[in-house]
Amino acid sequence: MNVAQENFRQNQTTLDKPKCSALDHVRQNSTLYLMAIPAVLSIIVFSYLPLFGLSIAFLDFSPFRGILGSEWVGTANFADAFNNPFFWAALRNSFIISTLKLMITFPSAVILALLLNEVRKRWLKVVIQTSTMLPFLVSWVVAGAMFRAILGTDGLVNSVGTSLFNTDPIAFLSDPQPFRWVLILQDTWKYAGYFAVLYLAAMATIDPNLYEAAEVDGASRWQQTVHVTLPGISNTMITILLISVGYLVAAGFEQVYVMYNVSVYETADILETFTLRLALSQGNYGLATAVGLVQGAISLTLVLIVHFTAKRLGRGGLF
Amino acid sequence: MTNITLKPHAIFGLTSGQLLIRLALLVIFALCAYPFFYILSLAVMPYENFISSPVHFGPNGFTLEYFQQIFGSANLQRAFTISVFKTIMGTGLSVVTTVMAGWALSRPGLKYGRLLSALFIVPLYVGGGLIPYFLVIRATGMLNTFWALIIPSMVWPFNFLIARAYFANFPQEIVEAAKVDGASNLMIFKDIVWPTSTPIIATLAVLYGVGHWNDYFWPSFLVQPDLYPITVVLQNLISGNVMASRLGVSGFQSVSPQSFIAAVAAVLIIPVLVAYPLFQRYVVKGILVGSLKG
Amino acid sequence: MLLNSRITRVVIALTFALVAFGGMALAQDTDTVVIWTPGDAKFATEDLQVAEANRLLQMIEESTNTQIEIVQISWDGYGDRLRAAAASGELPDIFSYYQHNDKNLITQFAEDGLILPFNGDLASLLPTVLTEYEGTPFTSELNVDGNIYMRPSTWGGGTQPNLSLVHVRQDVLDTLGLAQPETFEDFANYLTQCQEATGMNGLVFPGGEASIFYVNVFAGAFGLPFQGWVRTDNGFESPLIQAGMRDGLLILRQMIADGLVDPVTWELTNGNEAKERFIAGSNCAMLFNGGPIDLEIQAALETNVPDAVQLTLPALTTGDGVRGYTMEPQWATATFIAGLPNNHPEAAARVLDYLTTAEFARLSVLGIEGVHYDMVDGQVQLNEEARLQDGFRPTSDTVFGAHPLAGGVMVDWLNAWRDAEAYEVYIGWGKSSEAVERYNTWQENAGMYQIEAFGMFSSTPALAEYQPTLNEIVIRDFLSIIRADTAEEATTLFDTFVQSWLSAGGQQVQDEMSAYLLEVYGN
Repeated sequence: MNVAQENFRQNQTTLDKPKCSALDHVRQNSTLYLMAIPAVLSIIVFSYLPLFGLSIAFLDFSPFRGILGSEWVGTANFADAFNNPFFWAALRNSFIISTLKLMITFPSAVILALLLNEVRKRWLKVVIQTSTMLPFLVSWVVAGAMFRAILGTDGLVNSVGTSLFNTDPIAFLSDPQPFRWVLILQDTWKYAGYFAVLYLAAMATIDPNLYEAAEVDGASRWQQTVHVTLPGISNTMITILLISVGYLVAAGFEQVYVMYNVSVYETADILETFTLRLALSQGNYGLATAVGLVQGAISLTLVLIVHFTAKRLGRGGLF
Repeated sequence: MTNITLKPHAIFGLTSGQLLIRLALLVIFALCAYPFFYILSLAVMPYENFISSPVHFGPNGFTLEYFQQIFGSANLQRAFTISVFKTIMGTGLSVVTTVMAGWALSRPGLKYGRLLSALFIVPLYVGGGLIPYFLVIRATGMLNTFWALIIPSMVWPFNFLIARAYFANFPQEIVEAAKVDGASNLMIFKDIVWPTSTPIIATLAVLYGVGHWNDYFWPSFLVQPDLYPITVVLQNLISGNVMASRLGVSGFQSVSPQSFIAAVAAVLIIPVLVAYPLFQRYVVKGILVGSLKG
Repeated sequence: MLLNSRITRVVIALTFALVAFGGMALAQDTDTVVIWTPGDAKFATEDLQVAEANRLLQMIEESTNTQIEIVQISWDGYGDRLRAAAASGELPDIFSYYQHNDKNLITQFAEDGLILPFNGDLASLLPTVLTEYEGTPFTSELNVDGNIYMRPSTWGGGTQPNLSLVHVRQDVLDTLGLAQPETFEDFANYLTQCQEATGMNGLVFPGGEASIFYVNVFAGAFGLPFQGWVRTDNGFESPLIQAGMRDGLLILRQMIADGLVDPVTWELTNGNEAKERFIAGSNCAMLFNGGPIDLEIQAALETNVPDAVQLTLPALTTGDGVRGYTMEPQWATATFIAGLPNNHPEAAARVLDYLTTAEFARLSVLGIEGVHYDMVDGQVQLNEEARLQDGFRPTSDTVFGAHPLAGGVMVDWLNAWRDAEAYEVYIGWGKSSEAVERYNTWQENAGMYQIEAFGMFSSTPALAEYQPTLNEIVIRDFLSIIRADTAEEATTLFDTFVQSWLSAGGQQVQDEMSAYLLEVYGN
C-alpha cells in the first residue's frame, strides 16, 4: 500500500469521525455492510459457532450427553496429551517438517518467479508457469498416488535403478530419513508454482522506470534483480511469511496422512496424525480437542507476534 | 568438463545466462509435469504391457478399458454429475460472496471494515472440531441436502484476505468520480468494480473451483450416499478404503490395481487440466494486485 | 470476457435463487425403521434406488409389519458419523458397528442410554437373537452389567482363525517339486526357491498398516495368540510380553534379513494392497485373511496368471510341533437397537429378529423361490435377471454374496454363511467340484491348528484408558524389532518394549484383566 493511499485512508477516517455516530455511519454505508453480510455471516456461523466445541477440551466428552451434560475434567485432557511421549515427538516432527518446508519451498518459489521473470518469450512463460501450477490443482490423494507410482520400492525410480543400473532399491517411502525429505520436496513441488505466481504478479507492478534507471547506472541483470526486483516483491514475501509462520506447528495433515506408514512414524508422525490415531479413532474427543487447541493457540500466538513485530518495523501486518 | 566457452549470443541467439535460465526452467518443467504424464500413461497402458517390462517412461500401447470400467457404473455417472453441479454452483456462490465482501470491507473510511476483516484471521488457524461443526450444520437444516456440499465452505478466510488485499489497491479516484456523478455504492460495484475485476474473479474461481472439485472429506460426513460427489468414491478407492470389486465394476478380477488407480486419478485430474488453462491468463493478473499488501 | 458474459450472470442468479428456496429437510415417516450399516458408496446408493420396488425388502416389511429404510454409510468416517448423529439426538433405529472388539465403545453407548438392553418386552421380541447367545459362550464377554446389548453377527458354531494366514502358490510348489510347507524352514526354503525360479518377489503383507496382525503367523509356534490374554503361573498375562513372542518376532526378523520379505511390504497401509500384489502374480506368498475371500483371491489370480493356484497353509511350526493361528470366534460385527426418543425399538426388534433367522439368511443369498431362484431337480437355479433387478450382487462376481440388504445387520456377505444350503450355493456357484474341494481344503488348513486366547472382547477401566497408547507402543516397537539389523539388537529392543509397555499402563491393565478373567474362567 503506498503512502498516498494510506494518507487518503487516514484523512477519510478522521473526517468521518467527528460527524458520525456509529449508527449513522452504518446507515450511510448500509449497502457496503449488506454486501459483506453473506461472507461475514457464513464465517460466524460455520467457523465461529463451532468454536463452542473447544470447550470439549475440558470435558470427559460423550457425544450423547453433549457439552452441557459431559463431566468437567479441567485440564486432565491436556495433562494426558503432555504426558504422552508420542505427543512431544509429534509436536517436534510437526515443527521440524514445517520449518524445513518453509525454508525450502519459500525460497524455491522466489527463485522460480525470478527465473520466469527473465523469460521474454510469452508462450514459454505460459507453458512453464502452467506446468508448475498443476501440482497445486490436484488433491493430496492424487498427488500421493503419483508419488507412490514414482518413488515406491517398485516404482519408476527404483525400477530404473534396479533394472538398468543394478542398484539396491531405495526405500523413499518407508525409511524415516529419506521420507522426511520426500514430504518436504513434495511440498515444494506442490506449492512453489502457486507462490511463484504471487511473486510474478507483484513483479509486474514494479515501476519500469526503476529498471531503466538501473540500466543507465550500468547495473547488470543480476544487480537489477537484487536491487530492484527483490525489493519490489518484498511486501508480498513478507505477507506470505507472516501467514506461513502461523502454520509452523501444522505440517500439512492431508499430505502426511496420505503418504505415511508405520515405518516412518519416527520422523513423520505429526500432531494431526497423532490425534487421529490415538484420540479420534477411539472417540476420545476431549483429548483430540485439547491437542487441537494447543496447536491453534501456538499458531495464533506466533501469528500475532510476527504481525505486531512487522507493524512495529513498518512493514505492514496481516490486517 | 571441457572448456567450451559459451560466447554471448552464441547458442540459439541466447546469452549464456539466458541459456542457463532456460535449462533450469526445463528441468523444473519436467519435474512438475512428468508425474502427470506418467500417471496418465499408466491409465491408458494395457496392464499386460505394464507388468511385462520393468521400466516404462511413457505409455506402451493404448486402451480406454479402465475408463470404461469406471464409467460403466450408473452410480459413478450420477456422482460425477453431482460433482459438476457442486463445483459450478459452489464456485459461483463462493466467488460472488467473497468478491462482494472483499470489496466492501476494503473501502477506506468504512469504520468497521478492519474489525470485520480481522474476523477472518482466527479461522485460518483454529477450528472447533468435527462434532460441533456437524451440530451447527444440522441446526441450519442443511444436513443431508445438496446445500451441505456448498454453503458451509462458501467463504474461505484465505481467499477473502486475497480479495480484500486486491481491492484495497483499487484506484479510489474512479470510485470518487462515480460518486460525484451520483452513482450509488451498489451501482459502483455492479457497473464498475465487477466488470473490471476479472483477474481476481478468475483467481478466486480457480482457488474455489479446485477446492470444491477436490473436496472429499466433508461430503462423506455431511450427506448421505445418494449425494456423494464422485471424489468421495474415487479418493476412497485410491486411498484403498474401497475395493474395486465393491464398486460393482464389472469383471473386477481382471482390473489391475495400478492401471485402475491411475485411471481413477486421471478422472480426477483431467477436468482440472481442461479447465485451468481457460483461467490461467487472468489468474496471473489477479494475484498480481491481490498479493500486494492492502 | 469469459466471466462477465450473460451466461455467468444467469448462473449466478440461478444459484442464489436455488439457495434461497432450497434446503428444506425432509420430514421423517414415523412408522419407518431406519437401518444404518457401514458399507461402500456403490451399494448404498443402489439400495436406495431399488428399495421402493425391492421384492425382498417388501417381504421383510410384510413379515415384520414395518417400513424399512436402509442407509449405508461409507466405511470412512462411519464411527464419526454415528457419534455425530448420537450427539444430535437422532440415531437410526438399528445400526451396526464394525469395531467388534471395542467393548469400551459398547459400554459407553450403554451407559449413555444410546442402545437398549435386550430385556423384558424387547427380549420377547428377540427370541432368535437370544438363541444365538446360547451356542456362543464368548459373547457373554460382551455383556454390560450382565445385560445383552447387541446381536453379534456370528456364523457357524466353532472357531476359525481369520486374520493374517499364510497364502502361497500351489502351482509354484508343484513346479519346484516341494511339499506343502509345514515348518518355517520349509517356508523360507519355498520363498528362496520361488524367488530364484520365478523372479517373483518374496512374502508380502500390509506392513505399513497400524496393526500387528502379521504376528498371528509367528506367535502360534510358541503357543501364543496375537491378541487377547494367556494363562500363566501368575493368572492371565498379555501374550505380547512373553518370551515366546520375542522368539516369534525373531523368526520374522531373520526372514526379513535374509531378503525373503518384499520391501514394498512396509509401504502398504492396507491389506487390500498386499492382496492386489499377490493376485497380480508378483509375490510368492502373502499374509492375508482367510475364509471365502480365498475364492476371490483364486479367481483374480487365475485371471491374471493362467493355471495359478493359491494355497492357504496350516499354521507353521519351528519343528517341535507347537503351532496354531489365533483362535477366533466366528463373528464380525455387532448390531444394536437404539433407544433415543425418536426411535421405534419394538418395530426395530421385530426386524432385527427376523433378519437373524435362518429363513432370512437363506433369502438374502438365494432370494425368494420362484422369483430369484428355482429348484430344478433338487438343484438351485439362480434367476440372474430378477436378482439384479432387486439389487443382488451379480453371480459373475466370484463370490456373489448376499443381497446388500443382508448388510443391514452385518457386513453384507456374512449372512450368506449362516444357512448351510445357501452357503453351499454361495461357495460353489459356477465352480467345478474340484474347485470347491480345493476351497474346503484351504478352510480345513486354516482351522487345523488353533491357539486359544482369553478375554479378547473384555474390557476394564484401565484398558479403556491406556489401550490407544499401548497399541501405539506395540505397533511401533514390533516393527523396529522385526526390522532390526541383528538378532541381538532385536532382543534388546524387545526387552525395552516390555518395560515401556508395562510402565505405560500395561501392568495395571494386565492386573485388572487377570482378576476379571480369573473370576470368569477360574484358576
